[in-house]
Amino acid sequence: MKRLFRWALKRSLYVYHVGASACNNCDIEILDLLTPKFDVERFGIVLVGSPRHADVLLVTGAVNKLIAPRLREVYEATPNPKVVVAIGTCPSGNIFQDSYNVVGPLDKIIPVDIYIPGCPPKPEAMIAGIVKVLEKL
Amino acid sequence: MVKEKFIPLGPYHPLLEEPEFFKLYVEEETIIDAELRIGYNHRGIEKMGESKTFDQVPFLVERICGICSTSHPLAFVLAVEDLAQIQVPERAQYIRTIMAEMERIHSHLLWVGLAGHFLGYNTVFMWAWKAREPLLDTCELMTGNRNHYAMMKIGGVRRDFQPQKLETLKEVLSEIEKFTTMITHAVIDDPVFHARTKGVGVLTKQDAIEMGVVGPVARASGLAIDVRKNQPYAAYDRITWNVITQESGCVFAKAAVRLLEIIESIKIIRQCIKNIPKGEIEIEVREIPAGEGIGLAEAPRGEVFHYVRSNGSNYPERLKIRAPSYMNIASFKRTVIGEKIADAALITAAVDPCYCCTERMGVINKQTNQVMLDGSELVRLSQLKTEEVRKKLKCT
Amino acid sequence: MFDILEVLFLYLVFPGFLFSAVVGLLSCWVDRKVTAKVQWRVGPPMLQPFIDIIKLLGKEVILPRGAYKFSFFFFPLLGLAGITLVSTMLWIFNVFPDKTFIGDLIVVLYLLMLPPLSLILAGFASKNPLATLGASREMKLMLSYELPFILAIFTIVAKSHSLLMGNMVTVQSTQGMYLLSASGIIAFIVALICIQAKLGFVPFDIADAEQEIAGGIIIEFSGALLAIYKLTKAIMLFVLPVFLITLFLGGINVFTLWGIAQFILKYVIILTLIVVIKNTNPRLRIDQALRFFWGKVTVLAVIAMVLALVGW
Repeated sequence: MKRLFRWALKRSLYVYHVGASACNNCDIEILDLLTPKFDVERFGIVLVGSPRHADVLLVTGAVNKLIAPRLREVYEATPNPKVVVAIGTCPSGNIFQDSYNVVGPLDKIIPVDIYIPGCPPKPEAMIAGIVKVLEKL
Repeated sequence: MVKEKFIPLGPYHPLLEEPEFFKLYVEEETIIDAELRIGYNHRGIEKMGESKTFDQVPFLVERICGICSTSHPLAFVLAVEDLAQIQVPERAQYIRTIMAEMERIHSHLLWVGLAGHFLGYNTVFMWAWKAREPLLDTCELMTGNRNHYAMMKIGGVRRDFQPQKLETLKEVLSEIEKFTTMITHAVIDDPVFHARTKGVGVLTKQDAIEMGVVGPVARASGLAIDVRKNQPYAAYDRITWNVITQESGCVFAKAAVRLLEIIESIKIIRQCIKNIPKGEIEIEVREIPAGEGIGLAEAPRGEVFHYVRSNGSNYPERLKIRAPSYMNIASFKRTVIGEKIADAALITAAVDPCYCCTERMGVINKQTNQVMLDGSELVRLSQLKTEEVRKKLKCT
Repeated sequence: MFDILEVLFLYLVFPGFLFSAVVGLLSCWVDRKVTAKVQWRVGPPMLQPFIDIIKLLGKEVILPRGAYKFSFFFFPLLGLAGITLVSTMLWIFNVFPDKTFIGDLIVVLYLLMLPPLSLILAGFASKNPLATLGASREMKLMLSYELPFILAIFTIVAKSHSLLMGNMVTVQSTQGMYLLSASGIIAFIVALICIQAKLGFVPFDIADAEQEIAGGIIIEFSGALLAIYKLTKAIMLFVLPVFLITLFLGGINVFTLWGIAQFILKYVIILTLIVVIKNTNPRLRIDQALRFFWGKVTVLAVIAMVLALVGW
């Protein structure tokens, strides 16, 4: 039974996108994944509107003070099993890390399963990253 | 008895790519008051700018916003060039113009798609983004990245455009022109689109002046303000083009302005490609003298303003940025009251707000920061659940 | 009559839960695939809806803080049970028209109201402001579409002079389908528009408008609850067209291959119509939808009714 669920999970990822003080670029590239050129729905990946529905949290941006508690709450609102993907360079320390308002790196706030670096990562790189997530599940 | 409740719009809301928080006070489905909380995206860029060298700052301000990633560095280098009285080579001016207009086209196309998405026209969303894709690929071909081009540099631009790449750009432009004309006819002439957008979220000319809005939002309210025309930079004064305005100030007018601006931008790039001179693309800048300078650039969302003060060292002493959305979001309160909740999202979207651009107001943010972190007065969104509840559920 | 085992089989396996769910999920795939094609995309693989359901069943279910536990878990199940019963009944009346009973049409109409009603209650039970808003929108939407929907259905009652669904099927099999008359076609159009709203598809996806209120009613549903919601929607996507076929398009003849082929053809045509409407329209506002249903659509339905009464 567990193996069946895991099999299904790998083929049907519901993704929730969390922008944690990002510059918008990764966020737009994530949306790009849904559009005709990349069309990740082919692999059963769907963007959902509520963390309650999600399997994967895509987190972008350098986490600032204001967003950190929300981020934790979103993480807790997501039902298990869940995966956190850090998109872009920002969540793992970057040009913004010296700022007074950035509490940064993401893994200090919530556990991160996989990092996809790039500024912004190309959509192809994100797909490759998600495939790596699948292997981890 | 008036039954009041408030609907939180954000901080995480599917219609917004970025976190922000609107409190809408509603009576039934009608909005009677609105409140905006920002600060979810504040990264302290202005302060950080003071600890980076002049050569590094364009890299930093580029990351203010992923969409306006030409306008911000452009405004910054214009400010520094104003400060140091640097004359930029002609070819670089044209390259800057081309980059800025490419950015405008892809930003407006993105907006067209998102507007369709908010209206529930997902087909329009997909089409607009598909049309945008070749342009991004061309950007990658010409600059090496789909976004964040790193083209701007004090004294010129970083990379030259080879003639064959400009040819590719020309081809892509005619594709986009075809699409824009198609979408203008298909969507703007659609009766349902009219019903949803005409007369909705009107910002009158008087309000527009009072709120000091800029960019397409102002132009949709009949104010013909455009930095490119009023205070030309780069190569805009050597090119013929029109400032697009609409009178009504409603969501429909804002959409019309953006769609027509895409066509204007295509016109501008074509002229640039035709007239671009040969020559150097940068001059060497050794010293930045002490002094102050300002740079203005017209981003897709309106006027970007950068102020730089230097004390003669390698680092700017003060960097001040004003992004267009900061002015435009404020108009939200004027436009949204009295409208239906269902229209709130659309009205917000019509402004094309860009929070990552806006979030730099240190003091205000700090204040909101403290208030927000207390958080007790906030009605929690669905997302905000705690571990205890889950534990309770498990044991019962 | 049927004995208990037969009833269980009819309800749970064929033509009830299992069958309806499988066909419904396949229809969901058709919907998603056609949508993708319209948007110049490739779309998901055929088994995607099934995989989604399996996955959701394996996920954790979270009870939101402050939610009413019983209502939150019970009502989605009630909706699913109701719609499954409709499916079972429809098939029985089509296959064995003599099993019909007086007022069965009214029972079916009531049961069709069950899924939206139970979702409204579950939405309120979740205590989320956005879900509450979604539930109140769904309620207004229900109020608006039920009137023309029932008028359209009673056009058929007026034509067949009976409330027996079995009768309607038999009459149509001898006298040709009701669609082929002036009143029939108008009533069919009205019913089709109402079904679009019952399914919660664009332009009437006001209640779970993802861009406006973040999924509305279902915002708090996680894991198995979401799976139940999706199953209910999928079965509705199957049952409502079958309902239309039974009333307007001459029912289903399962005893000949040609009859089955005809049914599949009719079903696919209706499904395509629904999906195309969904993909070519933007969402209406709730007040616009209300005006639309109580204005134009109700007028159309009344015209159909009058035409049926004068015998067209």
